[in-house]
Amino acid sequence: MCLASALLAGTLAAACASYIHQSLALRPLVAQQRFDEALKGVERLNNGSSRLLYLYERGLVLHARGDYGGSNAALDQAEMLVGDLYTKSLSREIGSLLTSDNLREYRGERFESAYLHYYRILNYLYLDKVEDAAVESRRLNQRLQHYQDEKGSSYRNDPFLQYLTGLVYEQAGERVDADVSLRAALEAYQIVGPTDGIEMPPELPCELARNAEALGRRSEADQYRAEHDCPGRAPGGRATGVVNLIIECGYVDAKIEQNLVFPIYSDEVGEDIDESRFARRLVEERRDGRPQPDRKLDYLLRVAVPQMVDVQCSVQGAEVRAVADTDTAQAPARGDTLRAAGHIGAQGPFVRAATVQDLSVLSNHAFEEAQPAIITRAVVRALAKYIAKKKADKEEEKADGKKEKKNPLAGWLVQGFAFATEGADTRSWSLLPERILLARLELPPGRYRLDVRLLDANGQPAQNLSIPNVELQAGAVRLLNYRVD
Amino acid sequence: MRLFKVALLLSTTLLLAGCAGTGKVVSRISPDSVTDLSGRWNDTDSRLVSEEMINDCLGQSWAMDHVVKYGKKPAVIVGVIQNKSSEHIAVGTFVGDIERALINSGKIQMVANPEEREQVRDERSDQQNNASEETAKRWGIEKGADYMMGGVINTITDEEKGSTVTYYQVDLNLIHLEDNSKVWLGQKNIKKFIGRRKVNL
Repeated sequence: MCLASALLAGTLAAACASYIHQSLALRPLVAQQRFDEALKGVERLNNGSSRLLYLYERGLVLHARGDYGGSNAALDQAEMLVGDLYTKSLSREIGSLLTSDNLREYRGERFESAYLHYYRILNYLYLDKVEDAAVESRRLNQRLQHYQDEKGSSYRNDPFLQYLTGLVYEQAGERVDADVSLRAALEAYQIVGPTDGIEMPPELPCELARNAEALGRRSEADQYRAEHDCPGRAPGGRATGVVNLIIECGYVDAKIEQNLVFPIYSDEVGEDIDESRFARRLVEERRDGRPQPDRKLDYLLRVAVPQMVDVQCSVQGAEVRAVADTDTAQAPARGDTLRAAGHIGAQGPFVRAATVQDLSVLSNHAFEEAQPAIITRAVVRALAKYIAKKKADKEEEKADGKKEKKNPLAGWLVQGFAFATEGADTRSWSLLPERILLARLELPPGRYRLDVRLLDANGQPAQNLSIPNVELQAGAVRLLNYRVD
Repeated sequence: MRLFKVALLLSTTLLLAGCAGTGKVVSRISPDSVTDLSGRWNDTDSRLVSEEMINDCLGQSWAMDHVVKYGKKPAVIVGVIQNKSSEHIAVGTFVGDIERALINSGKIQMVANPEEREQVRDERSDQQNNASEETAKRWGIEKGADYMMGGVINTITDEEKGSTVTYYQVDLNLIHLEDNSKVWLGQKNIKKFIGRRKVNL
């Protein structure tokens, strides 16, 4: 019975501890487009407390594979689970106090549940379901509004996602909703852009101008144009199409396990110790790893907590140009994105892609907010295990005056259980990109190949790639995404 | 005794940890039964809204006015029902329920929608080449609709502390295809509350 319990505990802890390794192993598989293997790897993540993560990763792998319907199905289940996870399981919460945070159901970060909508919007657009993409945009806007209304996190708006929903509403002909989203994006970029190191899409004010014009608000449109050097509206409507290329770069920062050691002194721990208060004191005094030489050390309390690891994408920028695959009609192209229109092989100039969102920044913000509570909870848990061991090791004085432990096996059992179940919760949606870049090209109708020049940290070309067969009609606005590592 | 208590505590913890997920149960239920699982728009909403709105539509004077004026039942086609809500609603199912309610009333004639007409024309074209002269169907005598039904579905959602209230508003209209006059406007509202407990066992 005792051995079986200890072995089960060890297995449980080992299974949870390897989550981060299993999820990080998906990255090279996705990068090499070995999607079938990646899906098999995702299936191994499908355990009770990490089901949300399983659905997130599965949804993203299916999207990358081009199975947009399957991706939507997985992400739809994920969205419903996010709602259901509002209800906390009492048994799991109690269990996690005795074992580790890995026992708690993974509820995800706010920004993760926002980005499930991002992939669903793209899925619907690829399926030519603009109305469904608009529905999804409304769901996303509702979620962001909910975050703005509720306290508890610094993630209360997302300028890139607001901009994306604005583009979708424009495509769907919903000008009023587009106006609301685009203005929300403009304001959000002005607030968080400088602190998060992200740029407002250069075309955003001009999109607002065009939208205001379409809604009959001419003076507002003129103001945007004057402030941001946007061209006037072309007579007769738009004879060109627009391609917005979203370049998803790298992978979001991941968590690894870090061990903290807190010295416990003999004069501190008694029978009636208040574990929560003592844990808070340990954390606040920041005494981890530094025993005081003038005090008698009773125990070194080992606590496993998560730590963020920053792995930057090698690609720091990008430039995009269009090369005509068909004879394109002569049409005014703003900004001369395609010169010499009318000839196959005609090349436009390279357009710089702006860094419009940094998910690693969002991930780090969420981590910093949660870290104090995580450490305190871990210390409380470790203290409880330590005190349990102390009680199990309680000695009794025998008739001959010698002291020995009442139940030596109990102490070993508790120690073994504590050791086997101590582990940091390092779970996160590991396949999300680190950064999102956006390039906009306005082109005459036709078929194009997009040449993408990826730049390194010094702004020098590091890698070239091509995206063929990009079809564009007059007046159309296409959103494409492409992943680079 | 102490050893037993420790082992019991540990085993209970592991048992609680392992108690994840429930078994699956499958049972057949009547298609007319009301089943609200997720709180989203479902088959019951589609059926109830379509039946109630069509009953309202056919109870108005336009249908009788048409019979009096033209001496025949009005021909209706169901056009676009836009989904402007924040939920992925199966609009095709809803349109099917509307058509069923219209046809089953016996008061109108139903005309095929553009996709259906395309299929029928393909078949008719095939018949000109392959079917006998007596059985091949003729061109140029399709029935044109007199009225088109269209509409929009909207939602308003309010959410706090895990509870959600969703208000659905379905607006339908009937437009005369010759003079664009609106002969009927209908509205049906549904309100749903989804409550979630903060804690369960």
